[in-house]
Amino acid sequence: MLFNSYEFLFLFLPIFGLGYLLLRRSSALPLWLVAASYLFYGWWDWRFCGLLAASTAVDFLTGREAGRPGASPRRRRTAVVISCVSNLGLLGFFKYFDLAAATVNRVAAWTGADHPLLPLLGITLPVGISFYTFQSMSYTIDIYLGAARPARRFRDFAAYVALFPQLVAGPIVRYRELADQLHTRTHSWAKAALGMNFLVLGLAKKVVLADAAATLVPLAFGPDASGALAAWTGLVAYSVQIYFDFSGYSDMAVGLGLLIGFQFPQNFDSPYRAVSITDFWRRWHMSLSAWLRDYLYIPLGGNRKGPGRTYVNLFLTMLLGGLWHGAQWTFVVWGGIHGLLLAAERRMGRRGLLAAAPKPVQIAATFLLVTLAWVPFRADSMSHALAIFASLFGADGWGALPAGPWFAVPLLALALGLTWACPNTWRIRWTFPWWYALLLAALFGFCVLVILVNTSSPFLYFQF
Amino acid sequence: MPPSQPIVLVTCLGLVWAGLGITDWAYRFARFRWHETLVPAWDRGEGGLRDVTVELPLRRGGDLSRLLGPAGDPFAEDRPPGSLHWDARGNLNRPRPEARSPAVVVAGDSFMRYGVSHDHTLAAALEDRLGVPVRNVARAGEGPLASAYRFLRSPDAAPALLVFGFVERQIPDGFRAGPRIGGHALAPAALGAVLPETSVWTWFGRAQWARVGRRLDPSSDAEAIEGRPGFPEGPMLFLAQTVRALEPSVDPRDLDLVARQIARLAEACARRDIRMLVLLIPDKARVYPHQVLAEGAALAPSALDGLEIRLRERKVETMNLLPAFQALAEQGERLYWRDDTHWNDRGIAHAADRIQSLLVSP
Repeated sequence: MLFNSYEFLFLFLPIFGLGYLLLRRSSALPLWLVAASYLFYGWWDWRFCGLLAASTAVDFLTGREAGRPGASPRRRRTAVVISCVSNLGLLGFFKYFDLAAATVNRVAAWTGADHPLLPLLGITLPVGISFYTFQSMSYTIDIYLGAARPARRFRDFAAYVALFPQLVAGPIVRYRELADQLHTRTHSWAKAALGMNFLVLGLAKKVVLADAAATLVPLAFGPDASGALAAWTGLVAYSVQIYFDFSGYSDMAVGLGLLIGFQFPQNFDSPYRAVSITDFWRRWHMSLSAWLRDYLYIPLGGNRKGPGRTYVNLFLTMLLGGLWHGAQWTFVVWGGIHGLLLAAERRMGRRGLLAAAPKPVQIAATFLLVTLAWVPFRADSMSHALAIFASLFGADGWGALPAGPWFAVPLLALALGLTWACPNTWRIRWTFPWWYALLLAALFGFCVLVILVNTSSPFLYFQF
Repeated sequence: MPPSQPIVLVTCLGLVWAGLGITDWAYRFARFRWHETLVPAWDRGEGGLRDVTVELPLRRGGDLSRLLGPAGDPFAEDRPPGSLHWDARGNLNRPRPEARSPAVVVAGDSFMRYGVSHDHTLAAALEDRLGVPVRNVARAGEGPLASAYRFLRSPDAAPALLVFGFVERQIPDGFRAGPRIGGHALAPAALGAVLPETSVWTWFGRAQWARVGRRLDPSSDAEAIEGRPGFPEGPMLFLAQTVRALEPSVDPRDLDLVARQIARLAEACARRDIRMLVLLIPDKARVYPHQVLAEGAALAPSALDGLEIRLRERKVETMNLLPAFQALAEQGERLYWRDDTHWNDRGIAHAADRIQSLLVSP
């Protein structure tokens, strides 16, 4: 079920909300959260609920073993290994099997094999599997490292893993951040108002700005793309689309969380105002960056083993971060580009090319690099990405001024203006005068109409 | 922050949310009789659970002229008075004793069902030509496959022939969800499609959106496009969405998917000893491209041709109406309503003639 769908807003949410209010003081509340979250998740395909339940059960049991007082180090280590192998195995099979098989077959064909060695299974990727396996796995690892205590009740842990606001596209929340909130959280008018505010603004980011920008993206990535002007317009539109799409989803997740009393972490902090790639990764998908830092970069050695090893660790972390986004080599290339840029920045330190430049120049240069790196991220294949790069730099001529729907270019300009000239939703000190309440209510009504006219388009990060 | 401020916001938003939802659900039950989806679809009549006949007077305008409002009036055509008879299964058919088993069944999308009265459908035209009972089971708005599978799963006696047809714009989206029938009316995929379509706010939003679009850019986002003058019987209207859908090529993988789905239906027919004929119907813009495209512009090659090749490879009997319709259009023949996306009596008659020729040929 999509947050920007009719059935979520006008079927699921009223029923869930009513049940939540009735059970607010009941011990059955976690069960209601679990049931609603499984319904939310099973809306795509009920069979995926089995995977979610299996991942939850394995991590609950391994977490208990990893945190059992008096357990031997070997037993605790075994528990963590079982958790990692089962989660990564699940992710590997459903997400990467076909990529691995296709790669093996291609290599075999180069070496003269006359038939494919491995069959392609055409497996449907369960929605959100990349998010909940990481989240669930970090629970056992944190317990092993002594950073969290095991959940006392299965229903609390099941509610944590399946919590629908953040189940399918984050933010990736650690158990230790939610453990206390699962049984002692507060509800207030202020929290509810802030939650509604985040929810509506996130919805508007998605259905007004991101979806409008999406109509221009084919200018760069579509089959009929031609000319540098069109390609640049399409590429900038994609930069805007992916940011407003994903940060809109994150805002909605935070808003829904606040409505039921949960405080989720911030996931975006105006990433396109970053002054370097290092700064960008402190601001973009912050919960994934933190996860990769804590569970990949630092275990690889971080910056503790000398400069050379630091660069390699940065590169490897980003490479795997790229692969996490999808089973295509284009994502690995995207991760590799960011890894190289991060390592280069680390190498140059304060002597970087733009270190002395004015801040707007640093922001513009970073935005340009990030935007160019979106090319392999969005392209269907590497040859497609190379064709787009060629088009961007004039291989097809400048072309005519691109045309799109009448609303697309003004909304793209508005989105860029908001990106660079306004504080993000987390930086504003919100007060809610009556006129703002009316404005927000009108914006919500408008978003609903847009959803119904436009029909719901899925969030980009659902596929990762 | 004064404590009253959050309450104002929560109340305001809550009222808008509840207002939108309550009006919508009330309208859905009252206007669209949504509760009837709880009854298994193959056993449900559109007018209830019994035969319904509606007498229609002379009326003017089709789905496209209505989209344009008053601006569509110059294109509007008259429909003769007639009767629409919905049988107990909710299908548009001539009144006849239920016991009379059909020799031919017509299934598919809205084109296969379409008729300004129950005497003007493809099923009626076939019945007149073949002299055997022909039953129309096609429905609009549920994808082409659903009506065929619904009929195959019903307890009715097997006919000798199933004519399964659909218009080009159904490729590939009309086939993605597979057959949606029976108790699946409340399944997530079915609800996801039916809830927005039965929302009063969808209709309101679409009308306002079209109005704003026409004011700001009359050419780009109008839902209906006016054809060029110069056609013998005056210019026609075209559905903008269809024209846009026909401009790019259909992905060959999508054609394979559609061909696989139809071949599966053919196998299901063969298991019941039913001959199946697939009727591929071109869209209006495909048959009259010069009426609607700018100078020098062209549509992508028709998906019907690619699909016909794939179906023949799978040994599925197929009739592609595109070449015949294009030839007739070049002679100035109008096979579609000027003010509607669907074919007119002449289009239906030509299709019925071709089916008759195929069936009587050795």
